[in-house]
Amino acid sequence: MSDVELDQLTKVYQSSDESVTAVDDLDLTVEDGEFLVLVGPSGCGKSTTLRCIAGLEEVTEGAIRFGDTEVTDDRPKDRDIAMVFQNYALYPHMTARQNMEFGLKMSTDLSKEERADRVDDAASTMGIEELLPDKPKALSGGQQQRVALGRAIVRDPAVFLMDEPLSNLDAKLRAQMRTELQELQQDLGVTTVYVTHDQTEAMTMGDRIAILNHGELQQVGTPLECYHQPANQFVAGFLGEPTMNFLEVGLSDDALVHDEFVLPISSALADSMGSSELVLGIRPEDVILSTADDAGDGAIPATVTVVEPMGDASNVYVDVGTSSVTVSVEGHAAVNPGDEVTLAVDESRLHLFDRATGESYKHSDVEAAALDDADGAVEAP
Amino acid sequence: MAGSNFDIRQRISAVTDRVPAVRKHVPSLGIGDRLPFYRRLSGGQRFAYRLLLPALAAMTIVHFIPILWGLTISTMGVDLTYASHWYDAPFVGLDHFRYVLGIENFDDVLVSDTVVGERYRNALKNSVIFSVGTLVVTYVLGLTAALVLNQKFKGRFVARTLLLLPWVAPVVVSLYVWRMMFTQQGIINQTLLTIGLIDEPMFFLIGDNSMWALIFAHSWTQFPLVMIFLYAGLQSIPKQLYEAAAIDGAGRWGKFRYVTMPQLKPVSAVIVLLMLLWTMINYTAPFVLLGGAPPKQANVAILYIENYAFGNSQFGRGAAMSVVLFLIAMVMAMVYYRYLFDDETTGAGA
Repeated sequence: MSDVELDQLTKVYQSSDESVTAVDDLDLTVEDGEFLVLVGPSGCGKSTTLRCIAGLEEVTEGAIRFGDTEVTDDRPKDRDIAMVFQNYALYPHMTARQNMEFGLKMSTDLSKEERADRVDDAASTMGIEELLPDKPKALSGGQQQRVALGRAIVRDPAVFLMDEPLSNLDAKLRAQMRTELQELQQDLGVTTVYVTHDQTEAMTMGDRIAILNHGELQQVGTPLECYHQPANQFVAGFLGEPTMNFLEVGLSDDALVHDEFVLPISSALADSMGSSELVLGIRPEDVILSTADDAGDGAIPATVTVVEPMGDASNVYVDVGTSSVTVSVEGHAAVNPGDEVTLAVDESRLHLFDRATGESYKHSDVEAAALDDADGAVEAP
Repeated sequence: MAGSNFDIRQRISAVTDRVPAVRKHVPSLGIGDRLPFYRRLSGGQRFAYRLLLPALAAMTIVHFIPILWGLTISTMGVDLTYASHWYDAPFVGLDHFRYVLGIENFDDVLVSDTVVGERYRNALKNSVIFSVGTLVVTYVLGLTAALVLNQKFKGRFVARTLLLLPWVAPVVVSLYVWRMMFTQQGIINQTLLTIGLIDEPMFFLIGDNSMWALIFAHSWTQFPLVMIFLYAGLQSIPKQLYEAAAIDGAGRWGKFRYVTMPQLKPVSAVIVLLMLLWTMINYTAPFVLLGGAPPKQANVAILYIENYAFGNSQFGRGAAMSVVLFLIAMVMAMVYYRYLFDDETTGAGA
């Protein structure tokens, strides 16, 4: 077990005519035993970061430390890590048992019997004892996934690295494996760095999540911190499903001014803004939809375009002028496409971002208690 | 097919029963009628057979007829007197086979010793050595070259072209060059003399070294093919397997031993089969290098058969020798194939 420290990690891919900075000056510490999720869109540098930690990519600048040991230039085999790959990367010519045993065979002096015992233990942890004699070809995707995880845990490494391990599974199995992986990590207590592009995985699995974009770290924090207190517009937009609504507004005389509405805000809030060119961010679940004609002060007129019933909730898509806004309504939404509605929003739930830099000026004021509670087991609201 | 015919018939009768006038126009398709082979094929299948036809015709002329002819005259006393009317030659059963294999206690009035048999068995042995030797040398050279080409380095495309040259060059030219290099005044002897490894020229094309010379010269012309096979094989190994192996703690050798070699197994299996068979029946290399009077150490079966059959005008016996060689090659291929596909190609393992 050890913590993992990335110190000004930079990775530049150099080809003959151009250089691409995949990871830019990344500082990040993964605590001992922590489950950290690296999340971001495709090409954000999350996989590259993971591969640098694994030693599969050479670091251009900066350092990587496991505990007190610098491993920046160590080869993967000297790092005491285990990795689970997106497509599992099981050795096709070996049985599941041989696959799991291979790491022990290569990196330890254990006798054949000891290795077999370790494999049996790991197999029973993963519930794959009966798959051991089979080759990967004979296994389903989910079973291969388990063998790949078994191959990682049998090594009892200091750090687990997981590169989108669930993305090749179907939705139902993915949800199941999500829980199982989390339980496994909690039982083993091994420091884990988990890469995903799926914000649901990030929100539900991580002790903390680190959001990357264009090779740069946007925010690190517990899932709920990042959800409710996003550091910038990118994080706000990336986390949450459906995504946060953004409306470009101007600040004038204690009010947010949009072509279609004027939303009064408290003068204290107005004074705290660093710019008058703002982006208003509202989570779909924070929008209050009303069919009443006589809307109060600051009501936003809108037209319903699409209603998506989800069973326990409905997503209502409405047009505010030329912008589209998503509203999440509990249960059945009593509106139809074409209906004229009004939207309202509580000031405490508003997010405001600088239009130029995306920097957050105000985030949702969720109770501190909710954030204290924020561990990986809490489902995204 | 029968089932679908039946369905059609039912449908037809369902219509015709109601409209009796139509009935007489429907061709008889009673149960038990069997259509000719060609009629039973679907349109796509017929088209496929038509496409195959030219190739089948060519193979019949070039392969099947000569094979059958060879099998036939291997049981007939075809010699010079019957050369122009072989079909009149007497039937001798398996006498030729007993003779050429040198089986004792055969009652043959033509020849009373088994010198030919002994020489032929020796030639068969030489063919096996030639095949296995060529396989080993081409595999080692081909794998080495493929591994080098698989590395990223400047000029590897040029290197790939250069490495293909021995195979692309006309094989007779390559072999003649080797023959010249192997002579006493050849560059090999001269080089060895100059650097002082030997005191007097060595004989490469006669005596004990001749088999080595044959294997090496032939391997030289063949290894690029093996290289291309293996190179393609290497290119198709997923990179992630190497990454997984690196993380599992495998070093260079570990990756080669436990990832590369097992992953090359399917293509290697094909190479082994092809190189063994092709070398066993290769005529060009022994003939160009060793000519009409090869040393007994390198007198391979194909050369021996030709020299014996045409030198002594014993065509029936020559055919019998060829049949034996053919059977050996076929049995080898079949055993190997059986083994290969029982074991499944992803086999190997740690």
